[in-house]
Amino acid sequence: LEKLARLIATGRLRVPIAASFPVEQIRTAVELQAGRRVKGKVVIDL
Amino acid sequence: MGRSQSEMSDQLSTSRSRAVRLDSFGGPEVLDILDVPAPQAGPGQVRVRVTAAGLNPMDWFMLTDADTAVRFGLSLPAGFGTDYAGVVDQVGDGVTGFASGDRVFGGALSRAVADFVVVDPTGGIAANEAHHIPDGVDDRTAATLTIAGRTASAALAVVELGPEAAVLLLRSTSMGRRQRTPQGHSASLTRASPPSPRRSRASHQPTAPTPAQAPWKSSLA
Repeated sequence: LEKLARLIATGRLRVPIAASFPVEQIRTAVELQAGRRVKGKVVIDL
Repeated sequence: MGRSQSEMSDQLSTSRSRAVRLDSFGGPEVLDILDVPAPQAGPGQVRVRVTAAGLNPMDWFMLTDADTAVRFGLSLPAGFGTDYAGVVDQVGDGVTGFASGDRVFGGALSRAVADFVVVDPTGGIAANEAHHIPDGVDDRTAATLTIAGRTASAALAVVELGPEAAVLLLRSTSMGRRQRTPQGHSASLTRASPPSPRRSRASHQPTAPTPAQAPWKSSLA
């Protein structure tokens, strides 16, 4: 995993983040992610 | 969703933690944000002030399906989410290699969507772990790496790609679509290394498993 993180740090890998939500919107975030149509990761901010 | 969080101070206490909890299995509507005592790092553990938590299909499998949750050793009431990134704020006795203020990411099985998680960085247990975040990687990105990264490396270990292998990537939006046909996926061709003048050795590689045999293959979304 640390190797993976280094690949991102050096720009050799990119992670598509589709959306981020504040934790108060956890239900909306889960609904989006569970809908399986989102392209990229869904992240919760704390 | 409960309104209690609107009454909470924006100033984070280190003795209390917002934590997403479920008291029953179901859809997103069973998720609530509670104000709970913050967990404390015991010997061999670190506590992380979580800044970002990445969602994975595994999380809602455990949310909606009691059998899956039991298989992962969960019981109700349960927390939610596994991938996290944040900053170490407590270091337990006997921990080496981690200090307060270190930026870390990892897995905290079904408790990551919370202000604080306690993990065991030395135990070597998946989903109870911490790794340093390199400079140049932001917290949100780091919070997506653990489950997808472990899934990808497990997949690569299974197919044993050589350095010149051509790889056909079958992509879908999440794992679990085992009933889908390959035609339902978008496909792209990429290489594991810079092209060599020789012909690709793809034909010598093991035949790619079907999605039904290899649900991990499509879980990188």
